[in-house]
This record gives sequence, C-alpha cells and structure tokens, in this order.
Amino acid sequence: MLKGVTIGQFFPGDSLIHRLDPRTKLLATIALIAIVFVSQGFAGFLLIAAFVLACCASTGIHLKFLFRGLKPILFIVLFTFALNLFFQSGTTVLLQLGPVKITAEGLRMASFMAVRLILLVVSSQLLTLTTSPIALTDGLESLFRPLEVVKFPAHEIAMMMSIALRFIPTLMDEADKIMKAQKARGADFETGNLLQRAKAMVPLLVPLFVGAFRRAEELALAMDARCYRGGAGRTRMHQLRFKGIDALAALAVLALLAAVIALNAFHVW
Amino acid sequence: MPIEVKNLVHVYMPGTPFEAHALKGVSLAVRDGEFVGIIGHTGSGKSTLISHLNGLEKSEPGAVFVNGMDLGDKGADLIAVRRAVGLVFQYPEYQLFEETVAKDVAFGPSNLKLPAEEIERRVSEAILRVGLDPSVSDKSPFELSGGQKRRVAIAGVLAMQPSILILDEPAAGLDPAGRREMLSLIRNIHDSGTTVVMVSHSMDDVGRCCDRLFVLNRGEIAFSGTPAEVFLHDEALHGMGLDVPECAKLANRLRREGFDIPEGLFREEEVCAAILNHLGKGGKQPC
Amino acid sequence: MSNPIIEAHNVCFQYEDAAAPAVKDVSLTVEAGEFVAILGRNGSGKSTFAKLLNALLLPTGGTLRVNGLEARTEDDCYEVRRSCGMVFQNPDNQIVATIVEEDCAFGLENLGTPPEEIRRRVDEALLDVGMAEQAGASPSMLSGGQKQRVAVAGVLAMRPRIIVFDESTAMLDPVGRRDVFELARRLNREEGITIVWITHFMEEAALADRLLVMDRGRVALAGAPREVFAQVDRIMKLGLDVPEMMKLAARLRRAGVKLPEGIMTVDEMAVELCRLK
Repeated sequence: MLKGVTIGQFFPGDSLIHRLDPRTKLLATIALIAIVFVSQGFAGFLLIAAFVLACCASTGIHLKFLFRGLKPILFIVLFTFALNLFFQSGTTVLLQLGPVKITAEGLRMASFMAVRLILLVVSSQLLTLTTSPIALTDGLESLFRPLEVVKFPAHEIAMMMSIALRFIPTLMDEADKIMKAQKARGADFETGNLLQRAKAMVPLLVPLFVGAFRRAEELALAMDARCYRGGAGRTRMHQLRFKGIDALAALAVLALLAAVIALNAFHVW
Repeated sequence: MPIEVKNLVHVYMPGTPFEAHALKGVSLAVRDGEFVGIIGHTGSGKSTLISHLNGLEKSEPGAVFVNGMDLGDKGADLIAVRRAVGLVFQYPEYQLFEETVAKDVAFGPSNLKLPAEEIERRVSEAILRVGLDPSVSDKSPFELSGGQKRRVAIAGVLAMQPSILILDEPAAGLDPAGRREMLSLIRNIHDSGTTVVMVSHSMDDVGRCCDRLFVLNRGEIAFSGTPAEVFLHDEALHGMGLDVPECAKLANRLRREGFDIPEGLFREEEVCAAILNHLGKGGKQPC
Repeated sequence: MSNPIIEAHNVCFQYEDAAAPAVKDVSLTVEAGEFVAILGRNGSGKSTFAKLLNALLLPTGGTLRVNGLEARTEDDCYEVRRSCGMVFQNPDNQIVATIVEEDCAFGLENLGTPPEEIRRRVDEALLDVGMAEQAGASPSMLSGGQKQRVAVAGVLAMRPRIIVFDESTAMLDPVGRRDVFELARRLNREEGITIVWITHFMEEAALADRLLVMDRGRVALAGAPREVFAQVDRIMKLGLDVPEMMKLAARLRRAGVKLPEGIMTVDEMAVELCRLK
C-alpha cells in the first residue's frame, strides 16, 4: 500500500509562498543561496535565518520539516566543522591538547562554515516543501526554454521528469506486488550477506525492468495517439504568469541582499 | 482443516490519515479437497485476505491457521507455510524473470532447498501439468504468448507441490477460449487432489467450478454457501457490483413470474430442463 | 443515405519481422454515428486494425480512409489521430501527467490550442465523463474504471469524430467495465461520436449496432449482433463465446420450444417464455 504516499516533500497549501510562480521560487532560492555566500559574518546569517524561518512560518508548515532535510548531510556538517576547528591556523589559542590546538579563529571559521551549510540546505528545503514536483518541472522548463535556441532540450527534460514523477507510484506498487509474488515462491529478501541479498534482488528487478519497458512502449504509443510530437508548437493549459506577489517576493529577496551587503560593509561580526 | 480463518481484521496504515479497514472480522474455513471461490469487486479485501493465507501479511495470533499452524505465531515456519500454500497472483506472468522457462519454474523448488534431481523432476512434471509442451523448457519465458506465460507462472507455483493452491483472478485478461482452457486447467489441478481457492469477480467462472463460495463485500463476508445458495441473492449481489450468471438471473426472474422452477438452478442445462418441465415438455425430448 | 466515416478497401498490414500479415484484406465501411464492435481472439489482428485506424500504423496494402482522409504524410497522420481518438487497454500506461486535468489537456497542448480554449474544453470533457470532481487528483489515487474515464476525457477534449476503444475494459472489474461501456454508449447516442469497440466480452458486443468478428487477420463474420451470434457453433469454433441466453434459446429450440430467433438478453427470454406459459 504505497498509493497514499506523496512523492518528494511537498506539503500542499495555499499560503503566499505556495502561490508564488515556481520560477520566482526557483530564482529566489538561487538568490538566497548566493546571499548565503555573500554574507561574511554571523549577523548576516542571523538575518538570513530569520528570513527563512519567517517564510516557513507563513506557510503553516511545521518548522521541524525544514530541518529534516539536514539529516542526510549531518555528517558533512560535522566533518566540515571538525576540519576547520582543528586545522584552521590562528593566534588566539583557546585549548591545547598535545599537538592539537583549538584557536578562536578556528572556532569562528568552523562555526561559520557549519552555519553556512545548514542555511544552504534549509533555504532549498523551503522550495521543495512549498512547490509541487510538477510545478517545479514547469518552472524549470520555462526557465530553460530560452536555451532551446542552442539546442538545449528543455521540453524533453521536463517531459521526462514529469513522466518519471507520474510513474513512481505505479512502479512502487508493482515492485510491491512482484516482491510478494516472489516471496510466495519462497524467495528470501531479508537474510544473508550483502552478496546473497544482491542476488536475491534479481527476481524483483528483472520483472520490474521488463514491466517498465513494456509500460514505456505503451505510453509512447498512447502519446503518439494523442498527437504528441515534441515541444515544437506545443501550448500549455497552465500558463505561468508573474503576479504582484512575485514582484513582492523579488523585492523581499533584494532587500535581504542589500541588508547583508550592508552588514558586510560595516564589518558587523 | 487446511485453512481456517477466525475473525481476521486487517487495517492498512493504522494511525495515519490513510487508515483503511481492509478486513473487518472475516471467518471462513476451507476443507480438504474443496474448490472454494472468493468473490468480491476491487477493494472488497479479497487480495488482502489471500495474502494472509500465505503469511505474506502478518496477522494476530489465533486468526489464521494453515494445516493447524498458527500464522500469527512469532515462530511460525513461513517456509513450511509457503510449501503448503501455493499462491498465484493476478497477472502472474509479470513475475517471470529467468532466462529459460525451466529455470523460472525451478525458482520455487530451489528456494525450498530440494536436491537437484528432485527439482528437475518437479519442473518437467509441472510444465506438463499446465499443458505446455516440454519443448518450451529451454525457451525464454519472454518469447511466449501471454497465455503461455501465465501457464509458466502457474507451473512455477505447482512445482513447489502445494497441497492448497490459491489463484487470484487466473482468467483475467484472457479471451473466451483462453478463459475456458484456464478454468479447465484449474479444474484438472483440483481433480488431481489439490485443494483450490479461486478469487474472481466472474460469477460465471466460480459457478462453473466451485463447491462453495464466499462473497466478500467491504471487508466482510456478505454471503457464503454453494453457488446455488449464493445466486439466489441476485439483487443484493447486483448492489455490490457483482452479477450472477445469466441463467440464474433468468431462473429467479421466471420464478417470480410464477414459473414452477426449483431454487438454486444456475447451469444452462438445469435451467433448460426446468423450463421444459414447466412448459410440460419435460421428459419428451432430451434436453 | 450513407455517410461513411471509415472506409477500408483490402487493407493489409504486416509487421516487419513477422512471417504472416497481422491484417489481411480487410474491407469494411463504418457509417458516421455507428457503434461497431469488433470481437476476436488474442492475436486475431483486432488491435493491429485499431492502430491502423488511428494512423499509429500505416497499411502495407490497400487503402484506408478515416474521416475522409487517407494518411500519407506525417501531417495527415496527426489529422487522423485528432479526428479518431483511441483509448487503450491498460489504464495505467496511457496517462501521461501527474494530475487528472493536466492529462486531459495533453492532447490539446500537443495540437497547440490556445490556453483558454484548452481550459474550457478540459472542464467540459471532465464534466462529460463524470470526473470533474477529481480534476485536481493524482491519477494513482483513482480506480481502473476512473482512469479509463480520464483517458476518454483526454480524447474527448480533442473533439474527435471517432473513438476507438482497444479492449479498454479488459483489465477492469465488473463495475468499472459497465461504467466505461455505458460512457461509450452515451457518447455515441448523445453526441453522435462513432465508436469502434474492440473487446472479447460478448455481452458488450451484443449491444453494438453492428458486430465484426475477426479471425487470423480477416473479417470472419459481420452483421447485426443477433445475426452473428445466431451462428453459435461457428462463434465457439473461433474461440469466442455467445451470450448465455442465445445458447439457452438454441437448446430450448432443439427441445421443441417455439422461440423466435435473436433472443439475447434475460429480459427478452423472460418475456418470450411468459408468453408461452
């Protein structure tokens, strides 16, 4: 029963941020990431964090989901922190244990890098939490469309992404069914060493791939039957249109950028 | 009693917004050598039910027994259960994966860790039993026709020599002749001593084959009994999205119109004889 | 007054690596507004014929005109596909988009229809097939029958004159099957759309205006369902089935009961028998 599971981390909603044009959100996220890099000190980070948290609060999504995306990269954050802590050279020694010394500069740098990483992840998390995968695909297609002049296959990539999204639940369902069928024939997916387990996956993966190819063929035929001939001359029912709130969002991000630059200039922290 | 189900409850995704009661206290028993039909439309819980009979779904202790083994018991020997109960899912041809038919059919028996000669013997026997020519053994299962693939998949389960065979919609998607052949194949398997449970939404098919029927509706058993008994409820069944065989419908209809037709007829020849009898032509000519 | 919308003259088709043609010398005419059922075993060539109607395949011999057009160039093919929509067997493998209404819009988007027009036609089509409430739903949450209705809406939005259903009910349960079949009948009756209904369920074929039985690439039998099904032995020999009541009527007739020809349904049989009572 994988049917009810939503794909990705999208939380449906009707907040201002939810209603933003996906292109605005994509560009704003890129801008936000840039701003994180622009910031030279903690005051800037604090401002960015406040901005992101405020955005998240306005969407009604619980803050914990914002930080859930950190789990897979927690190790990298800690590693970066440790690396900077121990190997950053500095003059103000805080602690010395044999050859290992921790300096104030090191501590500052380590914290700086860790916070920067966390902010990067959290800002992009905001995008995926508030934008449906399909809107994201539409946004990407629209943003990359100008590149079609140089033969960049924007439409094809977007089409592939949306078909993949469409078939993930179907294939998960199918995997579940095949797994059950093979278990009924005595297959064992759970025990054994790594090699044995990898081998045990063959009876699952082969039918799954064969099925996926069969589906792909049928889908291609069905698309042909509905006059699909690539992106040329195609229109869309949902037109992406920038609205007032998009301008507002752009202004907010620009204001944030200005503030961070100002903080840099005054060397606050 | 090969299969005994006592007040089986199954809840999908409990505690989430997707929580759904697939089975709400189902009880049934299958006797040795019986041919039992389980009918219900999509979402009635029949697929969940048969998954339980093979231990693919975990049940509470004391709910599902196969040959006396409690499948809810933590220490239940699932290999023994799967050896006893063969399960053929809907569209089983989509589970084939080996290079050759013979290797695919051998998958089940080799999971049972049987000696090589025994596996080989069982494979060739199973291929014959499903009515395939032995020459297909070395072919790739992907080269075969749809109907043949399905037979290979059934052979793969038969090769485990289960004493109970459960089939989910074995005739789905086949054309009428394919359907007739598939049903006669399953009848043959039953006649050779295997207890059979067939899930279907075709009343025609279960009426033709089964000794006893269980009608599942919204996770509960709505009717059970011989086909003749179940088909009396044609209107209630229609309300559940199920149709009784045309001849049963006609017999029920004629009875309401005042025809003297005994209850429980649904086979064409029986209904024909009853009509002739009523019209005063019975006995004159063989029906 | 004849108004043919499909005209096939000796149409043949052979797949490249096949030993024998899949469709052989098929000649037939379908009138605009007709509901034609095609019955046949798996591999009888009925699906291949369906793909020829939709210009997914082009005949390797003979001529085939659909809506007055013989597909010769690529542009012709798209024109034929627009006027002759197709609903396939597997409900899962013909839905392209992740949202019902987006899928419904797919064909019109491909045709380059203006957005407002797409919106209007999609809403209309979804309403027509009774799926307006699920417009924003994900197809993976729908039942098989509902998915097929979405597929019909996607075709309907393109305003076709013909819809070919290629075993569209084969994978559905009885409720879904009835739903989709009734939908096709309604579109035929109320909107005058020509329907080519390919199936191996004879209960469905029995309700068509005309029935063609295909066997090994040829049209083996053709006529009104009552006439075709009256040939009980022939049909059974072709690996098909006839409605139960026809079999029962034949049996009763053999036993000397005077029943008229062409009884197909329980109602008809009950009425006739009550008359004899």
